[in-house]
Amino acid sequence: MSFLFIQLLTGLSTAAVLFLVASGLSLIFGVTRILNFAHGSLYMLGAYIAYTLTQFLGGAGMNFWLSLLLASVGTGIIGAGIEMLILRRVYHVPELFQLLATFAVVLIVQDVTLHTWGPEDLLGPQAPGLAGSITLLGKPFPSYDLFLIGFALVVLAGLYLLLHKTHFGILVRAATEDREMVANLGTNQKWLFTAVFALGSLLAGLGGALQLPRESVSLTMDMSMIIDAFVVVVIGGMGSLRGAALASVIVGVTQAFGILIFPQITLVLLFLIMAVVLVFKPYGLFGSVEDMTVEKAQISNGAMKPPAPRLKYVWIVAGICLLALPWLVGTYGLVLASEMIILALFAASLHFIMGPGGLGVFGHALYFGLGAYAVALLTKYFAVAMPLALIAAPIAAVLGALVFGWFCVRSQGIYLAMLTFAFAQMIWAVAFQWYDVTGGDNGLLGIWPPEWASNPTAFYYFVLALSGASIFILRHMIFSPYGYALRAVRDQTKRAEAIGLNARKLQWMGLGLAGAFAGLAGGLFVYSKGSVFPTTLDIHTTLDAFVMTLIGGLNSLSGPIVGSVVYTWLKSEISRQTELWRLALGLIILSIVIFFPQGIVGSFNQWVRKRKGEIG
Amino acid sequence: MKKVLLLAAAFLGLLATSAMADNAKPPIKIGYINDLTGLAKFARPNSQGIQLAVDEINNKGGVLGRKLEIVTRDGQMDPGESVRLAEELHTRDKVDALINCCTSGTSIAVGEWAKQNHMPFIVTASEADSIIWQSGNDFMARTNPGGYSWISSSLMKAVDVYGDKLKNKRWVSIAVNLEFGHSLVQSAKDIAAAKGLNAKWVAEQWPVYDKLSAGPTIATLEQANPDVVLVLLYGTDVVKFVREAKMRDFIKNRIFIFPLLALPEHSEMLGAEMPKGWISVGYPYDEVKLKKPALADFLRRYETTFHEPAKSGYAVTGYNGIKAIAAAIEIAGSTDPEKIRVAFDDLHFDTPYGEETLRKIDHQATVPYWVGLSDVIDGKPQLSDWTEYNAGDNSPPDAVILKLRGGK
Repeated sequence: MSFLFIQLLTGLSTAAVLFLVASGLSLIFGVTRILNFAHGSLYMLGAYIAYTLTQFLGGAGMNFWLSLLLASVGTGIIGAGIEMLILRRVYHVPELFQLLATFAVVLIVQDVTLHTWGPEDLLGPQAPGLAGSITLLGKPFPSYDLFLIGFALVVLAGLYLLLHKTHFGILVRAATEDREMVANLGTNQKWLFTAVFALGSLLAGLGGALQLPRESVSLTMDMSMIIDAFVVVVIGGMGSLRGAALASVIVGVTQAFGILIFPQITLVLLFLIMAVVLVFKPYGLFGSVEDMTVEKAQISNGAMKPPAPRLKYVWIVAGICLLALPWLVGTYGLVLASEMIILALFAASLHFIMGPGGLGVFGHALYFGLGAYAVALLTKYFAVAMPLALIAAPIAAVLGALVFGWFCVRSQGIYLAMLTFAFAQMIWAVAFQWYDVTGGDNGLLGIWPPEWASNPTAFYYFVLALSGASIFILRHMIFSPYGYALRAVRDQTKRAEAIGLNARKLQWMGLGLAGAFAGLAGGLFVYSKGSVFPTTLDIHTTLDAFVMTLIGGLNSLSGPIVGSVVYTWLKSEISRQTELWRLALGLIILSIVIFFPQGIVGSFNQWVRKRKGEIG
Repeated sequence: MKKVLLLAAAFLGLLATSAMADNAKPPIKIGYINDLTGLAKFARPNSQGIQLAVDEINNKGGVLGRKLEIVTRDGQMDPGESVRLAEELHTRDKVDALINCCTSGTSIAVGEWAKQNHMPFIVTASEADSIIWQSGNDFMARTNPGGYSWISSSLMKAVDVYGDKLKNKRWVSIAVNLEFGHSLVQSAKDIAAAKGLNAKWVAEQWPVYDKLSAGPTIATLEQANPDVVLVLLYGTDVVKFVREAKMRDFIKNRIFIFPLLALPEHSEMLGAEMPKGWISVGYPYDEVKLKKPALADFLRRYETTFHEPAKSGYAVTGYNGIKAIAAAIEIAGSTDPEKIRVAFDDLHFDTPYGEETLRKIDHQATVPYWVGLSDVIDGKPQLSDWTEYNAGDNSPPDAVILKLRGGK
């Protein structure tokens, strides 16, 4: 009994830090409608700054607490700077672009932190007076954990008072409910946004600084925290303070007891809770419904026209170049080209569901990974030959897409993005933790193509044929009656339904189709590497697909192809040229979001039309 | 339209030039994949050891009259990325051999790739034994001691210290959910059984690397009321575990076997917070160098070159990795991978620890390591009561290894 009590308290102390970070994230989202990926980076910065201050001021007595305080204030100031410099420029772009911009900030902060504090983990002092434990029900319990629980309650009360008893708080709550109205009533939104962002960052920094006595400060703190914080905010309902508090407790306590009952699937459990909550309460426990529909930003709009006949020649020339490639480049060029083509198919499938499909999904790695693992598991355990395995890959992905998609199409906006994210993370966690079957982090190795396709040239042609045909089919679908119906649903859901189109079913089928081709790409990817790892399912793969699609541009059919070529090439070149590749990549992504929100192809087309005098 | 064509041509041109660049090949190129992002504490000294070896060999005229050249890439602890880098180093940089550090998962993945592509590959800082046994192949060799040796000697030490008190005890394990953890826990179970300890394994925890929830995990382990705790964690999880275990009084009256605890990579960070009396592998170089003049000399050269002491044993195993590949190429008379593969068998090479050999059976180097008790003396972490063991001696019988390697 006393054990269960102690475990509960331990869970609550985890929840305490989670709450500090997640409440800031939630506040920021409520007012600015930006899902701030960089919140984890601010948490990490808080810890690093606190470390430096304790080294500088000495970690004993009051100076320790002073360091923590100064670190969180400093993080708040950094947050305000990020808001003013970067986020102010992206408030008008669709929400998934904003997510991308904040991800660029994550990359930049990672490199800046690395070069400021070095790559090694740093160990700060323990909290003065709280390094020991006290006995509760006959069991020792760390006094610092108890302090954290109490402290979080104080912060919760303080935030509640701030939001309900001050003018600033009233504005924040009003903006969370209806920010147009607040603007119409004459509030200076600019400074309200900056102030909220600074407050949220301060809370993140505080959370990070408070970790100092519990763990060493490291460069991986950002990603491990942001995903947990996302889960908390989504479960609680975005923008809701009590939601963040309740969800922190749910997540913290579940983790504590998950370790006790299901030590093998602790990660799966986390995302399972998130998915279950979203399926039954699509807006989280305390999220409000109406503002989401108002805010539904158009990721892609404008009618996509069939390509002009003249453009056919461009494709023919490009096709000839691709066929002649083995004579033009060396082995490395071919390997790189194969990878580009596979990723182009992956990006094209995402483009299909995001552009014409109008669904802002944020977990496309799921289908890629399902296809990849289907191939790998069939090869490993049943020695299935490549052609058969490559048929199984899209089938596995379609099944996944249909099961998960059934839930997804009931949701929309940022919640749709988060639900797809939850499913993808869930399957990632299964692949990562199910060591006996999937090999966990080791992955599954030795899955090479058969003799006839094993040399780089043969494999290149094989990939080119399969991916080329698939991309052609995808393009064809867009201009089929089904494609038009899908776009009708995207642009005018109500009208489309009025003329008898089944919106959900159409989108559901769209997800299935996109999933199938992503799965095929995943299958091909395994053979190109000879192995599969959980990373094919993780958030970085999702982000890669996302960046490729957006770099190319959503409003054009060649966008994902150009995007994948440019992005793959950039990534492999930058990482060779400079150790600061995260910084470089972050800056490139940022400038695309800010200056070329239509992507490379979109901007190019616009430039052509402008020259012809068609617009502007 | 013209512009599109031009763009396409420019792009193809870029691909072509990047692939054809660097056609001349006087130096012998060695691709080095490390985990600087994620495991800097291990990767940095390792890379400096490698650099030192390359400089020294080049100053003496190189190998077969050709200079050595290192091409370094960061695998970021990601097996998939490491395989991609191996492919790139092979097809683009045209390296003649690969060497790496640190995580076992990346070593296995790159090893599998090396087997498929016939690329000599030296592992210098990965403990999982599946690297050279289950997944092992003749193109690979390893210069750091393996997990089986560590665990075997740690249990030997525990028997020395605790004697019969170690028999019929309740054991728990907490190991990182990576190849390293699974591989070493399995070895511990096998060896404990072989030594007749009659261990009862009553609970196990497999935290995700870098994500240990120390509080709930330790509380859960305590619930199993263990006598012996086997800990196989590294990186940031070590501090979390030690601090939380102390705060919760988990360490009282229990025997701890924590092989990586006293390695300088962790003990330096823990400082005076290092627990006392835990069985651990360490690297007491200040004492070892008194008996090994070559090591003293190495430590001096390292410090002169990099202006910091060589506190990590992985600096030496990295250094040795280059010495091994250089010796193999010398014997092979060329960089032909098939000849290097043969040269690896029973290869003798000079190291700061004295002459070592790559065993014919699995290409494991006969490298020494030190097991003792963690300790704090004058506020400084130490390894006391240590014994030197050798990786060549502490492994399963040849028949077992042969079977694991697929009966070759």
